[in-house]
Amino acid sequence: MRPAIIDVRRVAKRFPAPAGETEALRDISLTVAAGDFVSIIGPSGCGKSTLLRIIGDLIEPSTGEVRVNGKPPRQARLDRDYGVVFQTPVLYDWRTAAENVRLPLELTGRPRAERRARPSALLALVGLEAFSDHYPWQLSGGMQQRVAIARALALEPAILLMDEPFGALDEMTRDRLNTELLHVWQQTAATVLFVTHSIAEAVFLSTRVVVMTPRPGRIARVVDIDLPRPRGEATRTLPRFFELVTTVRASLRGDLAHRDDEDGG
Amino acid sequence: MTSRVREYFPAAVVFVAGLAAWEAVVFAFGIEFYLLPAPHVIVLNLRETYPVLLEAGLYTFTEALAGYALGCSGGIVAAMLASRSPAFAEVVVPYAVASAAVPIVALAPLAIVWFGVAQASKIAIVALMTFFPTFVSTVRGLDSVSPPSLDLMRSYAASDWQVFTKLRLPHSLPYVFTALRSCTTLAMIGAVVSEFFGGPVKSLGVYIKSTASLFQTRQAWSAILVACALGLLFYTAISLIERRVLGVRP
Repeated sequence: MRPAIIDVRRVAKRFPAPAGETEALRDISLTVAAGDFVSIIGPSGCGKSTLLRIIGDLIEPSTGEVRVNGKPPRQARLDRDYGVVFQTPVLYDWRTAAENVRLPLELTGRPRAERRARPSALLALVGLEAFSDHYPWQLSGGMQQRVAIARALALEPAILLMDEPFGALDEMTRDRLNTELLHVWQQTAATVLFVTHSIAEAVFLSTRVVVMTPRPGRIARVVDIDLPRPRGEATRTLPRFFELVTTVRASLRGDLAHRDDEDGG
Repeated sequence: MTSRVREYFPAAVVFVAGLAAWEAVVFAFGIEFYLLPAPHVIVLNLRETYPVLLEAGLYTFTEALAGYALGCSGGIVAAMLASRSPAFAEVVVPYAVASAAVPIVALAPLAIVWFGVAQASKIAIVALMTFFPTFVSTVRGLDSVSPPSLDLMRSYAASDWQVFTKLRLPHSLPYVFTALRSCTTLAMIGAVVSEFFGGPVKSLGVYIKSTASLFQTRQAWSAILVACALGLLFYTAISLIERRVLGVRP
């Protein structure tokens, strides 16, 4: 068993709301082993992005504890253990693709040679070497998100946090980027935490899929994905792929049905 | 180049048609030149008087430029301070926004009392007129960065100073330049109108006021034309700088 790089213990999160509080997460416990690719899937508003943001120290939990590499998330963030990819590319539109990828290198004061060489290498990794001098608005949505991935990898983070990065893309682009992402992941030693609401995407990418319930978000089930690697377009046609998609779907729906019963009773 | 020509062609047609209509109306209705001189009369007058007008124009333009530089740079610096210090912003921003409703030109006679009849009083008025729009616009630019772009900086544990220089400042530039552009015309108006309340003879405002009061309408129009030309030049110069600095942003 590989060591746990992310350890979430009994985390809950409540937000202030007009009428009292909204309970976003309840009693979340989760460990992620180093090198894993873990997807978090659940219905809209189940708090899956909130969980990701707590782990990345973008917000704090109401109760519970998170350890990342044995450290509190804040320390991990200060140590630049994270690379984050958001729902939108969040590229700065006064910077070219290469300059956007260079941003983290500038922020951490990396040597000049590295600042010059590394962006092109990273853009090559995501297949955008020909677009390094393009500005964000000159790139398609999929290309922008690839630039964001390259930027997230700039500091060789131990953990890649991805918050529905392909949610806004069409399905064909998404499928292609899924394959590319696996390729990138295999070339880096990063642990990936990936939030999505696409079942097929979660199954295709992950080593494990964490299924969450509707609000307040709890972990309904963790599904191990034992599809062979390397995965590619052919993976999507394997019977095992469909079985796993059905399992994840049932876990999602099972809990919804259960909840409907509660409401009905 | 042809696309440029096509772009400005309609405007040029309207300009020429407008002049022609003006000329036609003056002659058709037999309007006396002291009421409204025909365009060609103004042009002829301009050819005679331009050495005087150019000197007066430069004098007034110097006031506009100095006041503009003071007011705009002051506005930008104050906005940076406000963005860095929320406490400072809380005190200053409401007044800055409210000041948009104050007719600052109305202070021109007082400015003469305080700073004398020469250029200093006009510079003060122009500085005051351009300070607030630049301040308000720059504050908006510095503070309107999106939450995700701040999250990104946070995820890299960027310092406040880095957030300021790498995100807020570049993000604010389009807002700053919008203010800088609109302040060019404001500066010319402020300088000319301030001169109406007193100034040396060799200034555009005094020239317009004294010639108009003597019904030397064509002279007044010539001076107005010079003021327009200088205002346009100023505006164009800032626009060019804006394009250089902002590059090809959408």
